[in-house]
Amino acid sequence: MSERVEVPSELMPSRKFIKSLGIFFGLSGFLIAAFIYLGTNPFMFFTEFHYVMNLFKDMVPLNTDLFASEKLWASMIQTVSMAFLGTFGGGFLAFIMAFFAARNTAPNALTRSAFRAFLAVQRVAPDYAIMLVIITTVGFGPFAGTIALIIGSTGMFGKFFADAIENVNKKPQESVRVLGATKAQEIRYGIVPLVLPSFVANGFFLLEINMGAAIALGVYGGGGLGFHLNVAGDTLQYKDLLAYVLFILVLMICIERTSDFFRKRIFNKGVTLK
Amino acid sequence: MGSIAQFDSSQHEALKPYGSNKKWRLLGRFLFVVVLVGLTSWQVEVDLVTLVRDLPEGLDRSKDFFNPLFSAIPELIGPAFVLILLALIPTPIGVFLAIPVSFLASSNIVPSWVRNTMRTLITIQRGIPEIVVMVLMTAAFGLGAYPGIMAITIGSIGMLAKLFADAIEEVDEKALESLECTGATKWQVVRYGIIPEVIPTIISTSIFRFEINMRQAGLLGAVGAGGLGYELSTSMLALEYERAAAVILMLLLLIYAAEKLSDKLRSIIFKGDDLK
Repeated sequence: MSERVEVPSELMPSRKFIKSLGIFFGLSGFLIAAFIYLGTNPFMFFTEFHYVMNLFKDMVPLNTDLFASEKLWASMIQTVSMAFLGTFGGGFLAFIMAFFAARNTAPNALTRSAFRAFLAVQRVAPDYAIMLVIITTVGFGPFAGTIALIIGSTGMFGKFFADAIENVNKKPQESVRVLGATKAQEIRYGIVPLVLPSFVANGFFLLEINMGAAIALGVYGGGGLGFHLNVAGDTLQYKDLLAYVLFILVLMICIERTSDFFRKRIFNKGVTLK
Repeated sequence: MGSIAQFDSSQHEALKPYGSNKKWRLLGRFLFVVVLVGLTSWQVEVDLVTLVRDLPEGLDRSKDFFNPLFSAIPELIGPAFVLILLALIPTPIGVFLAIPVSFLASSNIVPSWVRNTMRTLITIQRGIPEIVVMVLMTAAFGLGAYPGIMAITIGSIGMLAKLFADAIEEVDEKALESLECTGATKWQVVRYGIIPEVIPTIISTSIFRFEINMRQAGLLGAVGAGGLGYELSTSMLALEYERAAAVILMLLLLIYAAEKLSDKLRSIIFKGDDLK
């Protein structure tokens, strides 16, 4: 008696083919409908390529005088300062708040949920919305952008730090407790040394993200490179625009390389608070 | 006989009392950070005196933000839909374009010079923030959804291609070698050795990128791509803070929903194993 061996249906080529065909047509249908709804031609980049060529002709040769101008370097220092302060301030606040938001260090459950909720709202709130609210208080300028970055970084890293504290190895903390340490000493000697390297390493990663964010916030009137970039675009100074774009590119790559260097070093050697 | 050497604690780094060298080093680091914070604060024009003086007035002015204009929500549904589209359209297009780029940037598929060239191109792309691409595209095509879609798509390609390529390079070499031993062609090695390994990463990274695109769409919308971001900046310019508060509320809800949805989908794919 010969038994028929069924090929599992999910392995049948025809079914699988039909499924991927369905996904393909579904996605294409969605994209076509979305472009029709927005009233844009997805291939405008190619059909209207003369716009790109015109822009290119207006941009080349780039304004190399700009690289020697004080305006560019001053705005670069301003943008880097915004990113640094945003990262430092945000990381500092996140570091403190994380201990109130982590299950094993929070004084009580109520504080913990309150801090968790606060951090969640901060994380979800977009930088630019925060900045627009802050501008009504402190006016346009890099200070408003910096406050927005601090708040945004706190939200992004508070949750991350809190999770890191909750997942920490319990043994060192217990041995410190056995020695008769207070709650504060327990945190200082049982938890902080374990989480500090990852905090600092991620701080460098945050600096990278904040550089991009500082440029974006500059466009809204936060000052620095973003502001000048937008002004160059709006006033049709395309030769300046290209110079700013190239300068930002080099700056971003430098920041990424530096941050990579320090992160690798920290993971290899660690950091201490001693 | 004093043949047993005296144990000298000062000779051992780990046993040195904290007082000596380390205290000075710590103090030095602390001063360095203080100077850095001081200099940067001066650069960004931190003005705590004015801030403290004007804070009550500013809070008074911004109290409208805590009183959102709920009646504006029906007319904001259209812009909210545009915002979602601004994030949804670039995601599949970005994934579709990032896959071939990532193959060309993996050392186990292409020769190293191709890989290094592609990696350099990806690094250059990642060095240009979306907002800069947006300003450039706006200069070429004018305001509208199109420059926004282009900027978000280009940003997606760089990030996704890098993460996909990293995943491809992490595929176990032994599995690929055993495929080669069976006489598989290069294409078959890619098809049966690499693609099944990286598909979960591709899907979960793409969902994560959608979450980022939602945030980007609001940001770029405010510069002229339309959607909720644009509504926010026009309400702010018209000093209609209550309407702006309604827009911010909707933005928060949408981004929160996107984050939850993305977490949920990724945990289904990885069966609880979170990607982060």
